[in-house]
Amino acid sequence: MSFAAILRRELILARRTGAGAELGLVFFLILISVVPFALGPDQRLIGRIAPAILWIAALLSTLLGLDRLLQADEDDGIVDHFLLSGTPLVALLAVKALAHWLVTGLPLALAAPLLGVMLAIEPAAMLPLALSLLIGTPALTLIGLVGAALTVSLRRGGLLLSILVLPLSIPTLIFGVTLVKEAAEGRPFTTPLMLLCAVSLMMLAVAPAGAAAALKFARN
Amino acid sequence: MEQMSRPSLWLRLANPAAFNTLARWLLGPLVVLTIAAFGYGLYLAFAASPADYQQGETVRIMYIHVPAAWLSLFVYAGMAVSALGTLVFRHPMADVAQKAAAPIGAGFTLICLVTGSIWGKPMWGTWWEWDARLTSVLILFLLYLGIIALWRAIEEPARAARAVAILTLVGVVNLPIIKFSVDWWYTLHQPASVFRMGGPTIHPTMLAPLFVMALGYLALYLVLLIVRMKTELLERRIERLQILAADGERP
Amino acid sequence: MNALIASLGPHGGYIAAAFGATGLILGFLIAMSLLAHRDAARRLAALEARRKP
Repeated sequence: MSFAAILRRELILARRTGAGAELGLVFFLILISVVPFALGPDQRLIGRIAPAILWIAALLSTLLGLDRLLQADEDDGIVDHFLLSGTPLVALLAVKALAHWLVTGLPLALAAPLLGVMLAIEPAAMLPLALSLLIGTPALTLIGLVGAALTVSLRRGGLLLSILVLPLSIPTLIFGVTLVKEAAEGRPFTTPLMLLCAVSLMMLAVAPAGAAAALKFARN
Repeated sequence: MEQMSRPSLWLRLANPAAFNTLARWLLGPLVVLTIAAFGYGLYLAFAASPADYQQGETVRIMYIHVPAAWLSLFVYAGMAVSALGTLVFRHPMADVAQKAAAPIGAGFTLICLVTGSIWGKPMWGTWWEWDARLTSVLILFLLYLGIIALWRAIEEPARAARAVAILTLVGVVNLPIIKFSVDWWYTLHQPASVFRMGGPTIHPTMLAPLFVMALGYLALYLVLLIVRMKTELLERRIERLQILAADGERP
Repeated sequence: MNALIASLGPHGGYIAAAFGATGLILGFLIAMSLLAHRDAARRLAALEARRKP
């Protein structure tokens, strides 16, 4: 099975099982419509915390469905097949992370400017916000991948998974929100941008290998 | 081949009986050391050290707060070493040590948080300040809780040990990043308060109680670690016996 | 006791509370460890007694 084929299969599965990109977008829209009800319709207050809201929405939507990310493959013996056939498991996991990001992180990043308008965010921060989500959400997905691999044998691992994953996501959150804040206040945001890139690249290097190790060590 | 005939201490410790012998030797002296160090440390902290010119008497909280912070990191480092022992060397006692250490480390981290919060009230005027150091310790506490939760979730001990080992190592990789990001976040949102906990100037007379208290915490950690490891060995033996008994009852 | 706390200055209560909380947490850790050990030892003894006869 080529990796393009795996990716296509993942995307089709996500769509058929009700975890496609459209539903993800609806989820963000609902999260964002809930916020003014919690805070009151104060435009300036909402505008100030909008980056934080969108980033927390990114965290939540990454967590959704993570506990099911690897379970089907584990149950169907696909993971065993990869281990036995000598095909690098890391590659399968990287493709799975990519598919997960394509239906959660990417749509949010693309829709962020639009949602930003509704949340009265500074116009100057609109594109930086999309950029921060575009670069930062892969790190969230990759951290989640490790958590999913660690809890794959648990039937109800969802809650535990978020307890494991959220503390590790804090640096990404800090760098991402700071990037938007700096941009909104008209300051250069190169430093947080570089740090965000660094976190994502490091997770790309570490997380698939860590997840593969977790799956491998879970047998024998 | 020569190494085979005389196994190293490392290898011999893989045998629970050998560990229990060593534990019996160590436990008594360590208990004495714990009591002595805490006693002397408390004497130094209250009787033989001056009040700080800036913070007054509240600086005495530092003598339990700062060593707890040191130990919370030390215990995590020890768990990371055990995690390597589990994954690389498949050392059975490494699993046991990892499992025994986690709640103790969480306890020390909690002490650091609680004393920091109590110290913060007279200094900052609030029970909790999102200060860089306290926030980092809070995240460390969350990592400890995650590790303990994962231990409880996976039933088979060897499998749980390997999963926790990977989580611990992922945490080790992330801890410096978390520490850096939280410090950076804090400097961006510099609050009005000038006071920094455990500030740069520590008078030499304050170092002695600090180190003696740290020695007390360390000795207590070792005592608790040994007791909990022995408990874990007993639990494993119970489980084996129960499986044997169940097999025996089968017709 | 009150005089002792008062001798620690205006924030004596906080100092006492910090040391008290530390003692409480350490005491809890020690008690839990010892109780768990005693409990495991007792269950093991019971199990072995049941196997022997």
